[in-house]
Amino acid sequence: MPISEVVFGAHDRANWSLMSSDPLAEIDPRFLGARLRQAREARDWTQQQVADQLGVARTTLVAIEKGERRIRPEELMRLGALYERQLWELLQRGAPPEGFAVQLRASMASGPVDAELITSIEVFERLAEDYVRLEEICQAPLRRRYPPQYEIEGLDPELAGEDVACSERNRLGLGDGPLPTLRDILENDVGIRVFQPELPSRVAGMFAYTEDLGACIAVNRHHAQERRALSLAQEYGHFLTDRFHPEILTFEQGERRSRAERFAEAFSRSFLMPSEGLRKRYLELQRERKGAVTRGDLYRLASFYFVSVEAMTRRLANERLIPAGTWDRLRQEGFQVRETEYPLGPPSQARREEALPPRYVSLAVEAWQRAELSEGQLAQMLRTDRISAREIIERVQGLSTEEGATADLVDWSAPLLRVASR
Amino acid sequence: MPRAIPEGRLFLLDACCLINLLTTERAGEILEALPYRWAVPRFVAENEVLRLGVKRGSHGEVQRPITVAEIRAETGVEILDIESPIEIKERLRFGELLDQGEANACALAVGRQGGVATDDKKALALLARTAPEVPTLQSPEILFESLEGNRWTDLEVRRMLRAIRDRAKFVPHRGAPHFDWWTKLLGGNSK
Repeated sequence: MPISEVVFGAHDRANWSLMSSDPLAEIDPRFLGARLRQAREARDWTQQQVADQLGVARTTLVAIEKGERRIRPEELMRLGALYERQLWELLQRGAPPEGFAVQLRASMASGPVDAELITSIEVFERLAEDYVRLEEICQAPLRRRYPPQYEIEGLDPELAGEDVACSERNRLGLGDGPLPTLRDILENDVGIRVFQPELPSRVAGMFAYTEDLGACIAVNRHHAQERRALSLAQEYGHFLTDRFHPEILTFEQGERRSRAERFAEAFSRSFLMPSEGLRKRYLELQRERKGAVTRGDLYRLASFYFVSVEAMTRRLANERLIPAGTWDRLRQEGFQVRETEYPLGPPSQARREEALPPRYVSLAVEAWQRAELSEGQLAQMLRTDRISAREIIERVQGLSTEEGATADLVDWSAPLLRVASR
Repeated sequence: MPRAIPEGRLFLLDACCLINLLTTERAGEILEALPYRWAVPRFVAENEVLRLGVKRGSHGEVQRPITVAEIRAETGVEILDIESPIEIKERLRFGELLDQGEANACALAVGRQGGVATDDKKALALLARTAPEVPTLQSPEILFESLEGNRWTDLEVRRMLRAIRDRAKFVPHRGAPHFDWWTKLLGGNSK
């Protein structure tokens, strides 16, 4: 049976706690080979490079990756170390999910795909794989409520952006207010996986889709919250119109923007700051101030919509509520607003943890509580060390370790009905 | 002495237990009080307890890596590598389901007829099911049994448990041996 005919995720979830007497004899070598190939490709290494590292002929590695030669235990351990993959990741029983690292790298039309970007793409792909893995363990697949793709071919990109944003707001029942929880909305109401890993500074976001992993977005955790919101909305716009093509969103200065980019920008502006609501609020402000809206008002309006002052100023000008070129004039006059995401400074753990969706974190803790993930596996899933993982468990479970509380008090894995009938 | 484990038996400390013991700053005394040989898989010593090294600076505590030499000096444990074919085979078996550190501890225990000191529920369940001959110890058990060989006051013991709770963020699961003793000693008087 070719790998493509095996439904990903269809393997017995008991795999997570049932031990084989000889994993290499029991696993389908094609699946293991495919996982090893994916791990190599995610690093952008050639078979020859890896064969040299391993001290085997390239043809041997080719045969291993094709599943035509059983890998030896020592070889597997060395490859695991080389690819920085654990055995439990490589020895999964089912077919590996279709990844997106290679396609995402290839989508980078301009600018170099350097080692830092390759690593970031691998991190993004592994986050998506781990998310799906957690869903399998907890039997909680993310429901995909993807709308049909919007057709914008031949339309004015700016007008199309406004139009699609308006339609999506209506479809999702978002009204005309700000979207402080856009990340949660996209995950819960659309079914998109949104991560916030550390990306190279020139990269604002990434988008990728495969049937197995679904639609996935990564926005740069290094960027200010307001910038991240814009990047997220832009990537969502890309998903709505061109989801089968992966994308890396960069800040390329001085280049002529493509139609797709112009659409995504118009979409994000309109999605985050919808015309009707913004107009209403701005006019209210004008009434209060008797026409003399201040720079402080601009800042407050931007904060209200969780966007940068620059984005808000440009949007108001775009809506002809303030004169065109206001932002440039303000900058010339020395007006400076620092885009800060945490006015009081972020707790370090919160910054680390926010790379992951809250649902991902709670599924990981649930899997640990079911003893389907060990503490070390949990820490790896949470991209942190063991002590921080314990802190996360404590917080997710809403537990205090004061007064002898125990990790069993709140059993997140318990069925709701059983709890209710007590 | 806990259960019927022969004296002198080798016990592999998994990262869970090692972290807990190191936070007490009396790991050596605790381990010495029990009649076993103690070891740590090299992977655990080199990779899993990095956050525990604490340097006191003008701005409070700063984390720094703790070295393998410091672990050896502080606890008196041996550092072991996976070597024999049976250990490699077991490493693969346990590695299919556990993290590298946990799998190494289990594989070394099976290969060298030793036991495993771990608090990890998944590792404990796997060992009970697939290698019942491998004895296990958990952190509360190790602490409780070590009292016999040490003349610590309640205050000193409480300090150690608090260190494990506050610095290692460890909370024993309800089914852990001596869970009641642990929680009673900490209960109501936690800070």
